[in-house]
Amino acid sequence: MTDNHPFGSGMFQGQAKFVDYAHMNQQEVQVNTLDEPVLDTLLRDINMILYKLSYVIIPRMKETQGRKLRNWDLWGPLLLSLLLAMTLGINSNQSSDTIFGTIFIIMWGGSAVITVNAKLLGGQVSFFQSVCVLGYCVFPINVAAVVITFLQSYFGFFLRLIIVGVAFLWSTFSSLSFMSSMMNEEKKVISVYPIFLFYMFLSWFCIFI
Amino acid sequence: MNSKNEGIEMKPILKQDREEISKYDITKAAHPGICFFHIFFKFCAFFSYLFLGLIISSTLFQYILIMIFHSFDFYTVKNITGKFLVGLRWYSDFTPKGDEIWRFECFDKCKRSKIDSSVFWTFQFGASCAWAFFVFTNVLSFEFVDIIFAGIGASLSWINLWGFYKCSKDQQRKMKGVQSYLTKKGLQMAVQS
Repeated sequence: MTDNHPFGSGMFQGQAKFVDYAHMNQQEVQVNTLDEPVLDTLLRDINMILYKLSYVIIPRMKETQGRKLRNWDLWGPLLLSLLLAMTLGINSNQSSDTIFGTIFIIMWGGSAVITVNAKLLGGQVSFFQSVCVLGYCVFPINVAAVVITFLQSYFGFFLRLIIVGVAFLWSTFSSLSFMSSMMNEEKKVISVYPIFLFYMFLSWFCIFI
Repeated sequence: MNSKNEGIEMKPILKQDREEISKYDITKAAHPGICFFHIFFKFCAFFSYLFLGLIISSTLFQYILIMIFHSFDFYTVKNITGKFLVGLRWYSDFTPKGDEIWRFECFDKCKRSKIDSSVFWTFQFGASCAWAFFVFTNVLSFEFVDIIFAGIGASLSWINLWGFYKCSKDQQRKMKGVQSYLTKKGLQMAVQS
């Protein structure tokens, strides 16, 4: 509130509502963080990513809690896709850049297609929110891929199948708990089926490549 | 006598040259560190796209590094550089109903210098054009993998450029709004007195 501050006290021209920080939308968060140093910006964004990851790990079925996921960001999906491409590319027989390209395109292209499908079926879901959620929910499959890659010699085929199967079910359940609240009741199955296919495809990669 | 005259005549021209060059002199900018990072990540992205194949043999890690530099550049320009160098900001927000809207904002008072804004706009626009050029050449030579990375770089740069352009238009509109408000008030006061 001092006038010495470079941004001054009459900070910026926009509507500002001052409400409880935990329930703030992006604008309110931005008002309070105009003059923060760069490190604070970075830490705040990292915290948001970790918060969303924790939501994926412990999926919650209640719709109200899913609202906090609405502040989408594409960092999590980017990091997860890079990590997945890297872990699958390291130990594979095929050329690693083909695998990288394939996984990257499937993940981003697949998320985009599922979102467009949901929107065309009348769901009220924002494009980026949905891509964000689908990307974050790849996290369990990522964990399974890392586990399999680094402990490959200890695992027989069936154990790998079980681990990846569990990861697949976990991913699907996490993303459903958010996506189903956004979708049309009657067309739920048609909207949900592509998500199922998407995670199945990625899990398939983990087992067989 | 002649040399003395020449000496006096030379001085104004030199001063002009100096003023033009100093528009990009980062050491005199208000935020030199931030200017440096604005340029640094773009440079890293270009360097890794063009030359990383000579340093790292594994193509997988080349691709990963290029993606990382693209995303760092985008994040830095959108969240940090734009705020400090030109005092503009754009982001997405949600109405209470749940609809998504995009906000473009400018700051009232900001310690901005001409050097900061010229560095910002020149390098952002230059990088965007360079990536577009690379996409074009890759399309012509059918190198599909390079198209992806140049394409991602080009789209991220142009998205940032578009966002900040809309912010600066908003800023100009508000300047005009302020001016018209002040003239209206001035007229009112004149009428009352």
